[in-house]
Amino acid sequence: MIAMFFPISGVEISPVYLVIVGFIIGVLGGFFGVGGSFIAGPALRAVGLDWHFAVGTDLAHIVGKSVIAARRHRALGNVDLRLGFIMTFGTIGGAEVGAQLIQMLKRAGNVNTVVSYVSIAIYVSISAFMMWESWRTLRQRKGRTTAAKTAARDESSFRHVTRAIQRIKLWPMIALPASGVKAISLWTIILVSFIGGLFSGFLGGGAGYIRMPMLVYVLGIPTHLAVGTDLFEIVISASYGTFSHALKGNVDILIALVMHTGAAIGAQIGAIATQYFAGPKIRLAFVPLPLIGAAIVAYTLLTGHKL
Amino acid sequence: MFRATSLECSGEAVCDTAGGVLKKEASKTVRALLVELPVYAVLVVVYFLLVLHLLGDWLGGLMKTHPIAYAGVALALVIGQALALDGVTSLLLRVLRRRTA
Repeated sequence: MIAMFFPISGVEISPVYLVIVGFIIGVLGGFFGVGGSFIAGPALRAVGLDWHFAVGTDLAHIVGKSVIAARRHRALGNVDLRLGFIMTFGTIGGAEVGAQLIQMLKRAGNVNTVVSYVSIAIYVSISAFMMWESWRTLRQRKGRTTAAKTAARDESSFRHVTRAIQRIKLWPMIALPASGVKAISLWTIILVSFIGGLFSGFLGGGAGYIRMPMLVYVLGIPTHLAVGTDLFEIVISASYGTFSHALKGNVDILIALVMHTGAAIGAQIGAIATQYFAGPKIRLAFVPLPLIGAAIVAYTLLTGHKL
Repeated sequence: MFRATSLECSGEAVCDTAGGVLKKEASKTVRALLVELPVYAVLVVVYFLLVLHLLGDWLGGLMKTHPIAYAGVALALVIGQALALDGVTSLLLRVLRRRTA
């Protein structure tokens, strides 16, 4: 494959490779509302990019890809802008706290070990929970008539917990009409977005793997809207991260731009594909993604080789 | 841009009336996407050669001398490219869908 020289990071990488990686991440992002950092980071490191450049460049590429996917979902009516803007405050606050935690661990000298174990635990827990919930929901749907299925096409077996959370009367209470939520405490939304931002700052990427499930299960947002709104949040958290990393010289924007040409078309395909699947099926298909991330981190821990 | 005609039908394997429309729309979109890919690839190669090749050295210099400006330009470039490519892919898809219809 023809290699292209990238003067900012000083590496030679095939642009075809970057476009293909971008395309795959674009499809996943458009369909699941994730940034895809668990694939992009290792894919960049595999072709010789330094770790700090891989993290920063990945974030820059995520911004571009998420802008397209979020616009697509907005056109399909899948973004709750009110929720998205409220979440911005928690997301940015959480991202900053996450970044500070990383700095603390760096000073303590055990950042790699702690981050690796935390990420494996989080990825595996999310996958296990979502597999259990979506499988159970799909099983419950089996015995129903088509009309009943249509009426409750985005149901969840975890709905009783979501309703209990929505009943917490902690002032101020707000309504989210676009998502069909009559009243929910502002603090619940801020907490959810803060946790998403915290993981984004702590583990890198857009943290869609944790924010999207929390939007569905904690706030009770329908899956299609959760995917679109999550992408909106990823644009904000990844933009913040890109600016911060670029200041530190960790972003090779040319690599991000080349990757993004593939992601642009992939995101379009992924967003269109969501229209053909019901909520529980999208959630079930989401299950392997965090497991791939966990496998990559476990491989790095066990062998000492960075993928 | 393609929009699903019936959300009630999505996710179900067989959905007699609206499902039929949806499947027809889907096959049209897939055909258009397949034609779109090579056209898009040519545009991207031209873009690599003309724009990114020329920008490389300037951006490298900017990062070393003015990191704040570099951070702003980097963000503006990636968002600008996203909006531009979104426009290009949507336009291509719309034109191709009209032709393959």
